[in-house]
Order: sequence, then C-alpha cells, then structure tokens
Amino acid sequence: MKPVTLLLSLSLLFLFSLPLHMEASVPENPDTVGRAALQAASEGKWLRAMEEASRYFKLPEKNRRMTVQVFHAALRAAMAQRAFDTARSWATEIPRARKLAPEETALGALLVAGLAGKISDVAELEGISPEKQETILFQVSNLFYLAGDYEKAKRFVRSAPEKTPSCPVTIVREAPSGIQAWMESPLLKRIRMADEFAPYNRKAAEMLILDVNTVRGKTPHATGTKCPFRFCVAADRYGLALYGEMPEKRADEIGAGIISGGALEMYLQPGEGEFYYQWIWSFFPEKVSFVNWMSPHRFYRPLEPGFRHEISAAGGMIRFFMRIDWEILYDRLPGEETRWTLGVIPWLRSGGFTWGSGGQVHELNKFGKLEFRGIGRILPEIRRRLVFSAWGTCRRNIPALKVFWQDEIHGDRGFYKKILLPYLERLETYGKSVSPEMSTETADRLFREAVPEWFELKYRVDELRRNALRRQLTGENASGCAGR
Amino acid sequence: MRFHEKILFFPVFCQLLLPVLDAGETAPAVSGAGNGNAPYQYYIVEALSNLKRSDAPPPDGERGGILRIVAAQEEYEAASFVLHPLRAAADVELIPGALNGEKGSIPASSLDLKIVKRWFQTGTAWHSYFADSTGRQLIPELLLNDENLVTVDLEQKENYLRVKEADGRERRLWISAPGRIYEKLDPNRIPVADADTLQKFRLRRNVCKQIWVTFHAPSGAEGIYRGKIAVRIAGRDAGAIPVAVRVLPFRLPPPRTAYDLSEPFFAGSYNSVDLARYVRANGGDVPKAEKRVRAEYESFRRHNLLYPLLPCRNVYTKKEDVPLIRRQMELYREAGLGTEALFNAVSGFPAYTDLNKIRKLGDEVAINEMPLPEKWAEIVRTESAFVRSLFGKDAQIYCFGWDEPGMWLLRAERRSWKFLHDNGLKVFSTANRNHLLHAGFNEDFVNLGGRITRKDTDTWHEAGVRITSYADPHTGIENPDFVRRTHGLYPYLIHSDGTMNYMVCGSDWNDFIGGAGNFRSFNWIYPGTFRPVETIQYEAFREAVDDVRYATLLKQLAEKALHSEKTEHIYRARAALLRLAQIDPETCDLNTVRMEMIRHILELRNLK
Repeated sequence: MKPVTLLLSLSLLFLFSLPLHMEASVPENPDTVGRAALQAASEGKWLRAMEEASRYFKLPEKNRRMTVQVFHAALRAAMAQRAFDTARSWATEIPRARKLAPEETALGALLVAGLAGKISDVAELEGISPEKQETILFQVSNLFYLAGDYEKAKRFVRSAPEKTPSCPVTIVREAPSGIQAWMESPLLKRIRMADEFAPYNRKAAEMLILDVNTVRGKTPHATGTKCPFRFCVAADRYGLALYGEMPEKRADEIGAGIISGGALEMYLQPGEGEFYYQWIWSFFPEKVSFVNWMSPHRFYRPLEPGFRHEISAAGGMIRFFMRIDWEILYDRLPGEETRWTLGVIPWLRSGGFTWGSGGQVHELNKFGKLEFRGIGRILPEIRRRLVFSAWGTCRRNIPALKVFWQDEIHGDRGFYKKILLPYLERLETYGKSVSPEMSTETADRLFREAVPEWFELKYRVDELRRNALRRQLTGENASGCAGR
Repeated sequence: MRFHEKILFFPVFCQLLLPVLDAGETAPAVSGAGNGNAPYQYYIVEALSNLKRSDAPPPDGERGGILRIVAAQEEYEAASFVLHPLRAAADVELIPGALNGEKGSIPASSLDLKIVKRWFQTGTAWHSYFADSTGRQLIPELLLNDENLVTVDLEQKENYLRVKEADGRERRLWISAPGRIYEKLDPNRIPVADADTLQKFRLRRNVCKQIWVTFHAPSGAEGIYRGKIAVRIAGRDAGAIPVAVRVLPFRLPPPRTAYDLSEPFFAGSYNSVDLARYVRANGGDVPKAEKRVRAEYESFRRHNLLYPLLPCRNVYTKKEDVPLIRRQMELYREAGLGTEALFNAVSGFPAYTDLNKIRKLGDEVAINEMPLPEKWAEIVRTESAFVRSLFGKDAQIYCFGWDEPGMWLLRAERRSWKFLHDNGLKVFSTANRNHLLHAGFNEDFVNLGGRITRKDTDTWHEAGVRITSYADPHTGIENPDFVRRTHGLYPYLIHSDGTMNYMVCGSDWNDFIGGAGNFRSFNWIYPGTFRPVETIQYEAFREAVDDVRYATLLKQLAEKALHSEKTEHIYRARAALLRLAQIDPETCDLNTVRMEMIRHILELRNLK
C-alpha cells in the first residue's frame, strides 16, 4: 500500500470513529436538559417532560433553583401521565438525594401519602410556615388534579367556611332621618355598632388599577391599624338607614376639602343570587358614584333615585348617614329570616378594610350580612306606605300615556282602545280603594295585586305593546292595530 | 272464567293494561295546556330577557302560546321557550318542521335549536364580570346541541367538561376547580367538541328546561309562515310547539352611526383567534388550526361581529409565525368579515425599550427629534404592503397603539404614530379622558375604558376622531338584555362609532380562576377544538347590532320621506325620528323598541 493511501485510510478510520469518541467524552449540560424538561412541561408534553427530567436527575447538579423547578415539573408530568410509580419514586428519592428544602420534602411526602390514600396524614408539614403550608397543599392538590383524581384534589384543599359578621338591623317605626337626628337620638346609645373589619388584601388592592369601570382614586394599604369606621343599620317604614362614624384628627381639614378623607365602597345584595348594588361614597368633596350592573326593568330598580346621603366632618369625627327607600326594593321586602349581603370597604387614610372575612371588591360571599328579625312588626306599615307611593306614581304617569297612544300620528288608536285603555281602567279601579282609611287587608291586597302594576306601569305598557305588535305582524288579528 | 276463556282474554287484558303501564315516565301525550295527561307544559318566553331563568316555571312566560318570530330577510333572530316537565322523560327530541306560507315554504333547517345549559359560575354571575370565587350560582348560559358536553353536580356545585384523551377515551374534566390547582385547558391539545346537531335530552320532573331557537330568514322569503317544532319522547309523538314567523319584505343595511348615515357603526371585539398559536399548541397541524379559525370567523359573521381585531406581526413576533399571521388574514377575508377597515392588521407600536429610550429624552423633546425605531418601521412597511395587496389599497388600516398606555408611553409613541400617518395608516388607541391632554391630535380612533357619554363622542368627533368604548362592562356578564343594551342602542344613541369590547373569547372554561384583577372568564364563546360553543349573551350581541341596523334603516327611510312633497309623508317621517330620538337606552324595553322600529319602517315603506 502506498504511504498516501495508508495515510488516507487511517485518517478516514479516525474520522469515522470520532463521533463515538465525542459522544462518549462530551457531558450533557444539566441546564439545557433542565430547560428542556421545563419547556416540555409548560407545553403539556408530559412524556417528553418525564424523559428530560429523568435525564436531568442523572446529571450532577449545577443550579439548585433549576433542580427544584425540574422536581416540580417532573412530579406534574408523572401525575399527568398517571405514572404513579415514577411519581412516588421521584417524590421520595429526589428530595433526599439532592437534599432539597423541607418544603419539597413535605410535598413529596404528602404526594406519597395521598397516593396511599392517607389524606389526613399531614405531619410532614410541621415546622413549615402557614403560608408555605398552604402553598404545598395547593401544589399536592394540583398534582392529583393532573392525575384526574378529583376527590383527592378536593380533600387536600378543603377548608372550613369562612365566618362572616352579621349586623342585626334595628327595627323602629321611624329612624332618625339625618346625622344630627342620629346624634341626638337615644337609639344611638343602645344600638350595636358593627366594627368587624379586616385589612384589605394588599396585593389585590394594587390590582384594582385594572378596574377601568370604577374610579376609586389611590387605594391605600392597611398599615396594621384597626379600622376606625363603625356603623349601625336601622329599618323603618320608609327604608333602610345606615349611620356610621369614625374618629379622625384631621376631620376639619377633610371637611374643608384640604385633604381627602377617602371613600366608602359599598355593596348591597338583597338575597343570595340576586342582583347587587355597588356605590362609592367619596369624601370630600362628597360624591356618590353608582356602578350599575343591570339596566332597569320590571324586577329591578337602580339605587340612585331612592338613595339619600349626608356626611359631616368636624370636631375630630366624620359622620355618615344614608337611606335607601323601600320603593327601590318593594318586591323584595325582607322577612324575619331574611339575610342581605352588605359590603362595606372603607378606603381611608389609615388603610383599606373590608367588613367581612377579608374579601376583595365584589366578593359578596365574604361580606357581612344584615339580619331583619322583628321586621314583621312594621311590614304592614311599609306595605301601606308603598301602596300610596305606587298609586301616586301611577296616577302621575297615566295621563301622558293616554295622550300619546290616542294620537293619530304618534300613537295607535286601535291598540289604545282594545288593549291599553281597558288595562289603565283596571289600574284606576284599584286606585279607587286607596284612602287613608283603608283597612290593612285592603292595603295588603292592593300591595299584592296593584302595586307591581302601578310601579311598573311603563314596563307593563311596553309588554302589552310588544305582544300586540308581534301578534299582529305574525298574522293574529289584533283588532285595528296600525302597521302592516 | 274457564281456562280457554282466560287464555283468550289475557292478550286483550294486556292491551287494556298497556296504557296504564305506559303512563309512567315516558308516556306520550299531546302537549301543552289543557291536557291532563300531558308529560309537559311549555311557556313562550322572551329570549333576551333580564330574568335569570331557574328550573321553576318562568314568571313572564306565556303558557301554551305560539312561538312568534319577526325577522328581516337574511337576518338571524332569537326566540325561546321553556319546557316544564310534569313527568320525567328520557330521550326527548325536538324536531322542527318546514314553515309554510302563502308564498312558499321555508326549510326546517332555518330553525336551529339549542339547549340552554345552566352551570355553576361565580357568585356575581349574571350581573358582573368580577369573580366572587367562593360563591357559586347556577346560571343559564351555554347553547348546546348535547347537554352532556357539560355535566353539573348540583350537590357539590361543580362543573365537568367532556374531553377526549389521546387514546380516544372520553373523560370529565373538572372545570370549576379553584384557580390555584386548576390546569388551563387548551382545546388545541385536548379535544373539546359539542355535537353537530341537537341530541336527545332528558327531562326531570318539575325541572324546567329552556330551549333556544335561532331563526335564519331566507333571502327570498316574505310574509307569514307557520309550522311547528315536534316533540317526541322515547320515539313517540308528544305534541308540538306551534311556530309563526313573519319575514319582513326587506334586508337590513349595514349598521351606521346615529350622527351620520354615511359613517359605519363598527361592531368589533378583542379576541384570541390566533392561527399561529393554535398551530404551536396542536403540534404543528395547520389544517386543523385553520378549521378552527374558519369556524370562529364564521361564527363572528353570523353574529354581526364583522370587525374582530386581527393578530399582527410586531417586533416580538417569531419568524415562523409570520406566514401564519398572513394566512389568517386570508382566512379572515374568505370568511366575509369587514374589509374596508381592518383593526390591528399592522403593528402600532415599537419595542418597549425603544419607547423607554424616548422617555429618557425628556418631556420637551419634539416629535421630529425622537428617533424612529427602524426595525419596527420596516415591519410596518412590509406588513402594510401585504395587507394592502390582500384587501385593496383603499382599506383603512387601524394600527393599535400600546394597550392602556401610561401618559409617558403615550407621548413616546408620537414619533412612531407620525410614521404611521406619513405612510397612510391610521392609529387606534385604548384611551381615557387624559388623552385629550397628552395625545388626541394623533389618534384616529379611540376606545375609551368605561362609560362614555354624548359629551365624549361630540368632543372627539369635532376633530374627526372616531370613538367607541370597552369595559362598559367587559364581557363575562351573561344577562342578555344588559349585553344587548350596552353594545347596541346605548352606544348608538350617544353617537358612538361602534362597539369594541374586551373580549369575545380568550378565557378558559373555568370561571373560578380569578386571575390578576379577580375577573371572571371573558367569554362570549367558549373554545372548542373545531368549533366554538356559543352563549346567550353572544346571541344578544348579534341582536344589539341588529337593533342598530333597524335604526339605520328607519333613519334612511325617514330621511327620504322628509324630502317628499307630501305632508303626510313628512309627518310620518318626523314621528318616526322623534320616537327614535326619545328612546332612553338605559330604561327602554328593547324588544318593544324593536317592534316599534319595524312598525315605523313598514309604514314608511308603504307611503304612497
């Protein structure tokens, strides 16, 4: 063989064997493998994540943070694949082999216990702070969620229902009708003031900037002080009245508008699952902004027309008074067992607070409750007064309806004669029974039968009109209605 | 009785006994009121009602009535009825029949029926888009062909979604889990699909079930048509719901603004339709992803949502996504969506680092002293050329600025926005009233957060700037009347240029996640692997825009009649316009307003 040929052959031989040498000699980069595992897990590619994690655990550790992340990703992948033996093995061995922190050890142990059906065995959490314990329990729960074992997932995060405060509403025939009246009233001396406020969640307060719909101004953080605001609620034949007060050294400056006092953000929900009202009562200058979460209809009235308010700030005290008329909620009058949700979130110079179990804005389930025991005593008077109010409202509105619908151009005489007029006459017949001398039975009957029609006259007429037109358009003879 | 007589009598006895035996869970009978043996009653109800329907008989329902629908040609119109089962029944079918009139027939396929599924949502559901995650309310929302797509555990107050595993098996995914343990569902990876047609369903005694009907009026139809929706239980006839339809003798025009009949009322929305993201998530299957995009766009078109935002290439876009972004624009065009104006088709802002550099130059730096980020400018040139090649050189391209910008950032965008204007492009920005101080002169279309009023629209219109609003409220709220009102006649009557809310889709199936702002899911449609699952509030959005279309037609006819020589025509026109002008969009009954607009339109059309 010529030397050149020999040299060439040897070179080729060396070149072909080179990859084997390279493969054998170049170690895997744990960070690269770790990142691959994390990436696969984030994309839900669980098998791939398990493979990469398995490779990672065989490599020497370079980065403790990476190891912890891969440990978590590996468990998630194994549980998502329902590879319980692998999950069990990793959960036990990795924290020990890599000497991971107690949190990871606890997580692993809880997972193994859970896989063995021992949900209540949480001894592994001893010595770990409550916040971290909560995180670990959620993590374990998440692992069982991934495995599709929802019963175990739920059991790890089951918590006792939070206790929310309640405020018994004081029932009187006539509550004080303003701040001065409250200050002078003997009622204030005996009524229980609600003051069970918890600090508003700081992180959540920072996120309120995302709420473009509600202008709150700067939301302060609780500074560890107790909420200075306290309030009481009374109900009388006119409505629901709230009186509140809070000591404030700079009340005079606040009252003069030199500095802002803050705001009360409030919610009222007349029963679980019902609509709710939200309003923000700023001071000073005093302004009440209503956020409407529904448009008015037959079974809902906005709060603003039936809301009265007053604030005074002087002499080291800020005092509040508000009243909500029963006209707004005439179809939802409370009973003896009724509980309404009341949200009170004072945004004050001393911080933000929630009356309830630390709920955030709109977390109705965590707000306190109003209780109406004793309201039965004044319900007949409330209903009686509403009969007068409703009939008065209706009487004022009927003439314009008659003029409009009888008009040759604007109205529809056929509709007026056949449908609307008989209806209005029926309402007017009910109205003849209204008098200061009417009996309680008459008042109650009118409240049931006539008040919803009187108060909702506009919507009822709209319904009649809509149905008449729709019938006519779809071929039913509506006796003279206009249109084709 | 002798033995042989018993033998002969026995079959006869059985025949006599059968009706008694059958009068159990599945006995057929005629429907409706008045028949003591009927397995159910039914009530006609307003589809787009404020009332959150429960499983109790509806307080506003018309028992045993006729399902009446009035629609213009080619219009989609919603209607509804509630079944009140007097006995439990399995295998219930609803079969619409053809509708017959003097001028012909309308095929049964014009009536699309869906079950209104009630499921658990957070405590504020129906009313608010904020999450009260520890509260649970049963809310009517989903429109399903197969009510078993979502299972609801009434005792535990949980929702489960039927999904398909990789091996083809079905399982129930817990979709009402707390956010901290929940794994977000990606239907690009995990198949989620409703049935293609209405399936048989169950009725439980005294548990009412709402049925949604969407009627699509054919273009050639006109007049009154009648038919019925047959009810069958366990294969046997069980009565019918009578249907009467009036197809009006006109088509609805595209929606126009109240202040100028030549200006479009843009019905658009933020959304998460994203071909590139679907392809990445489904492992690279482009046809599968395209199928989903097509279905979503087709859904938008059917619901009057003609101007959804497009995903665009910006400085952060991965190179491999660019062809898919462009392909998505092709699909958008094929779907018949609005093309004379395109929203977000070209990037409206450079990199954050570029904007920050401008910030550091100080408040007094002039526009022409600000550097133009070349990398971004090149993207704008390239992509705008592509968009124009696809949609025509006259297409108005609205480039979206930084979302909800702080004022320093808004000012830093001045140079890049000037570049856009110099190149024939337009600027769209989410805004608030502070923009009047820091920008305004360089914005072509502003989308204000929260409630706007006539004062806002008048102010911006003075400068020829279009204005809409979002988050008034955000999506997520199921109340169809509220959604209809806040996307239709309210913005229309305050002279808004349309509706551009956040967002039609993009959130998870799980309402209890909460998230950074403690929001509920912002969905009018829920993500499906091939086709979205639609909702009652989405139907309301369509009706909102139809309200504007009817108002547009009324105004067009009235404007024409005002120029008539006949006094009676002018009177009618003015009466119609005054009626429209006096509508209080906050309190009006929208269904009544619709009927009145139709009445006026027919009168104006028939003026001789």
